[in-house]
Amino acid sequence: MNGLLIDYEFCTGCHSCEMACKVEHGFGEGQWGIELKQLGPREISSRKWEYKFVPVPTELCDLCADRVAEGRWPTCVHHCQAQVMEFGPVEDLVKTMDKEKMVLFVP
Amino acid sequence: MRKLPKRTYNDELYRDEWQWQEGDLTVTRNCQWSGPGCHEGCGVLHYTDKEGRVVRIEGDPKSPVYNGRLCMRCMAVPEAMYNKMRVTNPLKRAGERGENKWEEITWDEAYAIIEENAKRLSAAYGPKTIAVLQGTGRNTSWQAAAIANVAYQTPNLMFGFLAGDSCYVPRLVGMSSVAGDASIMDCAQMFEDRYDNPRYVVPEICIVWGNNPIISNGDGFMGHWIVDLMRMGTELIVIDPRLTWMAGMAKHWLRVRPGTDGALALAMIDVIIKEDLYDHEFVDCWCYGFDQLKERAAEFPLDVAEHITTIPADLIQAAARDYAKAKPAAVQWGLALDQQKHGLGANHAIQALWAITGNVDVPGGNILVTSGYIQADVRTTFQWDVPEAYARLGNAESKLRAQGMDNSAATEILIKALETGEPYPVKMIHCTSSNTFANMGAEAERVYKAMLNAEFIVVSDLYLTPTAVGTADVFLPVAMSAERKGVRGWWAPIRAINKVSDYANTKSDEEIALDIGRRMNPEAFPWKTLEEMWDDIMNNLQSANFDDGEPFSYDNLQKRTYRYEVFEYKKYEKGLLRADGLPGFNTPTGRLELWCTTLNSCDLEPLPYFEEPSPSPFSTPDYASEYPLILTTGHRSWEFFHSEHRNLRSMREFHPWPLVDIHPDTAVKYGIKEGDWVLIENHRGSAKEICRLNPSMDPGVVSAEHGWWFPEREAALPELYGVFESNINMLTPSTDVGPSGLAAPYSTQMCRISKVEGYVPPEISL
Repeated sequence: MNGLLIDYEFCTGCHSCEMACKVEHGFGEGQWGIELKQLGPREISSRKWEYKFVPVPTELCDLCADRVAEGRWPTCVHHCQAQVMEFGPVEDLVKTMDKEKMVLFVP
Repeated sequence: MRKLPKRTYNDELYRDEWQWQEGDLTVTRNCQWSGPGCHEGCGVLHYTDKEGRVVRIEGDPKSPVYNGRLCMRCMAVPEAMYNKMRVTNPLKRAGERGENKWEEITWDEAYAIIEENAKRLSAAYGPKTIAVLQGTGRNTSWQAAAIANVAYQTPNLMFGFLAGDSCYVPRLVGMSSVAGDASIMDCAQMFEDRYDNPRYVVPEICIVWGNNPIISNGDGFMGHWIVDLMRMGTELIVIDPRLTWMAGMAKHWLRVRPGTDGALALAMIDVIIKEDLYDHEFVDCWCYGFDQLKERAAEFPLDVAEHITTIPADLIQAAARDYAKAKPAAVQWGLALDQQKHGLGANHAIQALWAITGNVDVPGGNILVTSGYIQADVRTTFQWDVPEAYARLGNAESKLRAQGMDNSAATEILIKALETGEPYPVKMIHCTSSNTFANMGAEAERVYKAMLNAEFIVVSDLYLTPTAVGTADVFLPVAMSAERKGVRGWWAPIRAINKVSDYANTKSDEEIALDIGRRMNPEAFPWKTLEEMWDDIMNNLQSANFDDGEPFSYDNLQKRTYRYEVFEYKKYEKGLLRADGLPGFNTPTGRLELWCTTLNSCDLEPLPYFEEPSPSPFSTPDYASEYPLILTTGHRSWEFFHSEHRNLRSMREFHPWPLVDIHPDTAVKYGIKEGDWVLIENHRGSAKEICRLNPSMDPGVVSAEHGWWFPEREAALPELYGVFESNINMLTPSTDVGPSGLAAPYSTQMCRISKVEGYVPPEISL
């Protein structure tokens, strides 16, 4: 079983995953294979702010089965500007979860 | 230190050679450098089909510059190339200006019209009557210079009505005056093996000052390099009126009042000197004017700085201490420092900060870059004496300009020349990839009307922009990045730009320069073909300095895709900065000048300084009672490069309308809700944008987007794509520039806001 591991501590919210996904799959307007969620900006304590992003794969995400079969990475993983997305077997990805603010999706 | 995760790629699908075949598609490793685009030249793979159409673009994982990453705008490149707004042939105006009626003509016909008008007007008024305008940071720079200085032989080459040349030029002039060379933040971009290079050191602290580099990527700097460094342990100090993502991640976020960066920098210097946190050896050996700097900084103790900047004193102090104690520390600075009237004083202060802390030209600090000036080399291939160089617009008003410290003519003088004929008439404009009054032209409608006073206007661009529809007599359709051969040099590395596609009868900027040059000044353009010109240029790149023994030629560059020049740290110790080969900086004193002899010789303030913005709640209280909110502009969005990309359906899905950031309390006060259309106005004019609530802002500051026009709307007058409706530069001044003619207060205006009732914009029917 394959998954997407995202180190969302460093996700900058650049939308590259969303756009790459749309281009790859030819999704029309309002259709998303992965969707960026925004937290904040809000002040959570004096001078400490939360302003974060987490991309969430949707029902339409097929983990780029065609690309992966060709030997490529899923396009979101390939193009992520912060390079915080990794793809692979869930059991391998779990082993690399060695810090806070990571999330493993199994779409 | 943490290491970046490394990913492997399939070597069959992603190769080291520059071009290969993959089924029916040809894959080319390439540099995507505008337009449409930005300041970067990202490493991409263009996939072309048998007809030569670019059907797909991906990030090139073998690129040492960006390792496969790509932004959303580059992914939309095929959409931009085959967009229905693309123009296929040169056009001649058929109706009145602004009627959007055109007749398709051949290139020869277009050039004949241009030649006839240029020669006629030059004969009557002198070549200086021709102004050549250009956009920012794209692959049009030396080409525009060749058209202006060599083909037309006019000294008047400038940005498209960017007041005060307020995009990087003030910082570049500041750096060449103070240090003799330009400095950039060191993200190991000078090395092919990047962060693995044994000479590189990851900075402990990075100050991100007046820019949001992950979005703007200004001045040849990739913002996400800083994200790499953050993952390896670099901590941030962010100076910005808004909470950017980086500000949210920062150890300290200093929410500066727009336009007060100079006071902040001087206060930090004061802390560092008073607490003896400065680098004595560097100051003693390599700086000039430390005692005067110390005195100037003492005028900005923490309580004074808090009052000016609105940043709590303890935060300023903590930021100063952390920056000074970090070894090394770097500053990544940006546009906001140019878009305040006294930007030269602010950038001088920030240079003084990185100098007295010993962060000049050290690994992981701010490095001096003397290589990669390929565009400048290309310019020298076109040596030509401009007969009226002394008469360049703005020289009389600025000794800095007259001495050649700034390569542009002054747009605030151009606008007056167009309006009044003084100091002399400007009768012809040749505008290359610059969407003047839709984008950077302050007092936008004034710019439009002033342009109409020119008898003859050529616009070359990708699409029929508001500037083209509103003013052009002849329109030249320009080739996009994948349709051009070329070379990119801006810092490092030098990159090959491969032509992999053709689009209708478009031509590249360099071909247009050659064609017009051969008609206007054939002696200076001896090449019969573009290929011949390129061969000559590529074999005469003077400054390129390689240590691998291979000659420099286009073929060689193409095979390798990238070439890195030799780079040394601490060049001032090694005699690598001065023409005389002696140690020191390339300045009159040989030192980094905290008290600057060049600025002094131009009758400018020799020390870093701060002056209160005007208008402001402090300097103009009466005005502030009518227009109580500080208006800052110029921040970027992911989807657009300035006024570009508004015609791409994909980008407009992400970002359909112009946005103004307002604090929730301020919105309540004025009866405005999230998503409402808001009228932003001052005594010059107004613009309407949609409210985005932003609790991170100072309630007294609003931040509005620029560059908006609506390609989905009627091009012809009176609509002109709605270009003056949501144009924030209806509120900014076009002639209120800094003392040297450099920097302009785009980010420090004032306004009032109100809800627009019942406005429903036309559908985005792109």
